[in-house]
Amino acid sequence: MTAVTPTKDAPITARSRWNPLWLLLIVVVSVALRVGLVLTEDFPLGDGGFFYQSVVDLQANEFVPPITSSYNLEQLPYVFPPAAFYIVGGLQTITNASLTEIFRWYPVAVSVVAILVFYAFASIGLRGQTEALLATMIFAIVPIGVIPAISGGGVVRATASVSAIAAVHYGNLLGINPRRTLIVPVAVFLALAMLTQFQWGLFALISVIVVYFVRRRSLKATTLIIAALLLAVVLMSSWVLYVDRYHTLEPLANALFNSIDVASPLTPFFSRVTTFTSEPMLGLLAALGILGIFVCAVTKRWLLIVWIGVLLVFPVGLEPLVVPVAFIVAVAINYLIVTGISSFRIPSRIDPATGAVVQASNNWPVVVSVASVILLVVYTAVGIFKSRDVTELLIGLNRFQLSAMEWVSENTPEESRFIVITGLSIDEEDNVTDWFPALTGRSNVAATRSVELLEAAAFEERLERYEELQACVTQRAVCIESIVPSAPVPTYVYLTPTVRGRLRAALLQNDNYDLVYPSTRTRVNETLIFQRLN
Amino acid sequence: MQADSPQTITNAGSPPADDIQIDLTGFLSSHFVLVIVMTATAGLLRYLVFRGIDFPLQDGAWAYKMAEAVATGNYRIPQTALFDGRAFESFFPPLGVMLAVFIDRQTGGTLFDLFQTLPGQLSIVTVPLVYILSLRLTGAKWLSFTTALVFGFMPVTTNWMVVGSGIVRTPGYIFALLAIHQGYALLVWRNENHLLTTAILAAFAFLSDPESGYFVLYTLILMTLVLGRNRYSVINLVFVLTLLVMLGGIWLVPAMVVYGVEPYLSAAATVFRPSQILSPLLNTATAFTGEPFIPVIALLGYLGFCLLIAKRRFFLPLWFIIIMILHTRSASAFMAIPLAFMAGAALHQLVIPLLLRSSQISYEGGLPLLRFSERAQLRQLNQHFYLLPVWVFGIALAGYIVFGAYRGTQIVRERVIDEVELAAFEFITSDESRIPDDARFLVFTSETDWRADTTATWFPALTGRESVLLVPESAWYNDFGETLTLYNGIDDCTAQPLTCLIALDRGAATARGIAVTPAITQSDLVRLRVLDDPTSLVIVNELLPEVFEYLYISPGVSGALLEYLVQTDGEVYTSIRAEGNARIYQLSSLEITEQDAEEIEQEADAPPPAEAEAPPTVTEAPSGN
Repeated sequence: MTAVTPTKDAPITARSRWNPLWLLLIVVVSVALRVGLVLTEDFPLGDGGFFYQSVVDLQANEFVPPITSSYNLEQLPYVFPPAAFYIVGGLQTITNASLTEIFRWYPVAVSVVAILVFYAFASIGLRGQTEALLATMIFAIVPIGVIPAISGGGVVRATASVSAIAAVHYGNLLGINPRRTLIVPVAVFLALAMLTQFQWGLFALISVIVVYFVRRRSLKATTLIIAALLLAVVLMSSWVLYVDRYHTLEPLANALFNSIDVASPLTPFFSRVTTFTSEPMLGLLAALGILGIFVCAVTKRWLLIVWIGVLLVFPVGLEPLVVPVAFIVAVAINYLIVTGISSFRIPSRIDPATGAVVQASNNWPVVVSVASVILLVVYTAVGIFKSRDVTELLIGLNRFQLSAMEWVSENTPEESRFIVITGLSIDEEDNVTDWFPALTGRSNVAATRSVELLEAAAFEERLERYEELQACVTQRAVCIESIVPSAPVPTYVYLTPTVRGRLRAALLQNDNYDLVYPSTRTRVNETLIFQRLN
Repeated sequence: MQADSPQTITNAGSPPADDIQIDLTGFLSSHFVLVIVMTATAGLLRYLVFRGIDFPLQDGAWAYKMAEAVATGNYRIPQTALFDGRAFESFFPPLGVMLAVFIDRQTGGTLFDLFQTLPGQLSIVTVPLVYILSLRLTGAKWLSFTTALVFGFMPVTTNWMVVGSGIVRTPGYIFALLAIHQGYALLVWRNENHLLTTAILAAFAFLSDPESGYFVLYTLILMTLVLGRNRYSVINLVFVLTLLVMLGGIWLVPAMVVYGVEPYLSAAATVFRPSQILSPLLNTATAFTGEPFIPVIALLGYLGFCLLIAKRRFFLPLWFIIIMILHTRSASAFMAIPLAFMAGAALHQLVIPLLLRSSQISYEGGLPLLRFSERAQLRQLNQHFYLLPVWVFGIALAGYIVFGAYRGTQIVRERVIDEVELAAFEFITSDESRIPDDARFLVFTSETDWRADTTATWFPALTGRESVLLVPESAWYNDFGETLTLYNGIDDCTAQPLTCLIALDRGAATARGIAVTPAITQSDLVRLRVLDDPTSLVIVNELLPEVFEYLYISPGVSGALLEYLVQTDGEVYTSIRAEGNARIYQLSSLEITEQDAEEIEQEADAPPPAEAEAPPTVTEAPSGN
């Protein structure tokens, strides 16, 4: 049996002058993928309604954080970390561009910047340019990295990811070369991540500490890291003090605890869907991640193992895991495919006709290894488009839904309440429920966004109410009435076209429900709005 | 952080004299023992699938009726078997069924029991056969062991063979593996002693399950083109094919005389469907390996695929691709063979050697155990944990694959006819005055994959009534595609039954004489959705009370019955939480109201969104914010 005879260096690494071109290629592919996805819709992909309203509130209050959020008219405290809202609101004010257009394109632009920042981190954090380029490519195309970043909610998530990765990058630099000038970027980016989104902020904090402890532990570096963390605390303190003054820290604590994912750290290993990578077809990258853990073990790269282990234990969620996962997958690809396969040597053979020894070309394994990586990339990119078919991720509101919401904002009393029923479960991407309050200015009794600020019991109750109302799609009107009792305000039921069960027909036949939209005969692809008469 | 460090190069192809060699020690060097253990473990996995069941898993209804007829006729192949409420032609090759009857008579059990256990028991044989086949193709024992291990624990092969129709599939698969084993010796080794056995085994594969015969056919051709490539191999291949036609013709020619050529051309056409070529790779519901978690086997297969191409060994990669292209109907089950070979190659020639590289150990195959002296040498080299990562890797990976195989195969256990459904079937057959013999049924189930639709498969066999949607059997009648379309479409009918039925009728009026709307009369019966979703039954009935008349509800679910009555009363709502139950409705009339007709027309004529009216402009925050 022939064993591996690796070359001294990987073929791509050997041609280091090509690295900028490889990086450019990765960026071009990433931009094309993201722009292609965004162009498929005329509206921000997926979620973003709550963030949209938060920006509007901030602008309306002349960039002074309002006391409460107007989202869903619930008067919940305005405590969500506001950094991204300031950036997007400021951008909109300066450019005077449409806010929905900014919600479409800003996430794309920032997620591309995130790729470049990631490359800067990877080129120092990994062994050599080949691994760095591979990791960057994985980060740029893996669904768990792409989908959350370029949806409407990406205004927050993409901003947070850039800040977090930059914080870890500078933290790593500080550990390698302890210089005081690095304190500021570490602190600023860490604070920015914290002030943008909890998950990524927590990821950045944990990662800076883990990377430091595993890598370098000089006294000077320790002093500087502590200084950077203290400075970050100072930078965040203004927002924390502001929140504490007006609301106490309870809503923030509620949001933190309600968003904690209590799933077992091993869940990503024993699920087909909720893996590290969210690949909808064959999870080849996820499987490479598993092999990559062992490759890291035999090559004594404990940092990556400890890093991902700690992140799995702490409740940072799956999205930030994309950073160490991309590293580990890149290590596996480099080790097994780029180095492993390309290092095979085709044995020479003797030509039976002439008796001469024919030396086989050794370029062939290199070609195959490169093609193997390209095939993986293409397959993963195709998977992102398949994700849309399967999970309805990255779908924007269509013209019919926007038309219905516009009708609501123009034709219903402001104090009216809506029961928005889409038939989707809490785990699915319910962009109608998310955007409805922001685009109509009306209250949805089944809203699930921003309610994590409530106490745990109230939060759970809201999620249960949402699920119960969505389950009414196969029931009759009395199902809704048992969950949402009558009240002295105008009440409407808002059925999206995805509701194809019995409820649609039942409300049409029920005299207690008056079909107010559309005014013409029911269309199959149309949203239906009923007014409850008593 | 570190920059690139030069890698230590170990040329394992010609290791230096002082390099440390790995060898096996003790009884583990005996492959026989290991293969036995592996087979037993794979057998346990299959046993855990069919243990304790009292009904054949998933499908096999037609084969069961066929076996009954063969047993009754004392091994005489019947021209027809009573199946779908009528005499169903015996198109299918009889060898698998006859073997089942033979085994049944030898063991003294019942055919019904045999259909529950025999497919699973026979499927165990495929594991050592893959080992033997791999030995022949590679000559490497450890590689063959790994290949068989991967094959044995790949859920897709188990799930395909342990079900009721495995009674014909599994013998076909076994004969196919044997035929390829013999064919390799004939076509590649040029040993003509294997000519007759190759032809006979290929014919047996074909006569058990035509899909397996087809698999052998293109595999032997590919083998000749890629590995043979000489006049001798081509001539032998021609001889094999000639013999195969002659042996298969013993059954096929009389069958064609009786039934005509058309059913066989029709069935053959269903094996290759161009639209499904990439479906194993693009499937989002399940991995084609059947792995329920992260698909490690699929990845190892991919690595092996790339590795073998890099080594210019094209047979296995081509075999894998050819199956995916030419054998779309059961691609996953047959792709498992080359995939297991490629995964084994990846492990032995790529992954494990690379993992060992850091210890400067050259890998020559086998379990990475060392002799005492070698351990001492390594200790001198300060390699205390030289093999620890490999062992950890091996054990963890094996555990992950085995656990995945267990979870991935247990899903089949859910695909059985339970007591509730049997009671419903008995209701249909118990009183002919209530439901006439010639009643036709439209069977709705919650299953979306026709291969796994246990109720639809067994309904005609157990009730003796005609089901208007039988996907597998439609393959013989040249309406497989249309029936499949109808089957897939009918799944949406739970939400909008009336419009859906009519729309289906428009699209598939010719499918096997199924014309849902005009053909359904008051004497026809429509049986609606069994199990899993009792709410949809109520929906159908309540929305269309003028069309469907409630006829039957399973005993023992009085709560659901009560809810039904309460709901039809129209005054009180009760949340339905009843267990799965079976209900039968009689179609009393089919009057389409003006409103229904208008809605149907709108649905049919609705323009796609892109062609509808101009979109409203929603840009900024609406008023009121």
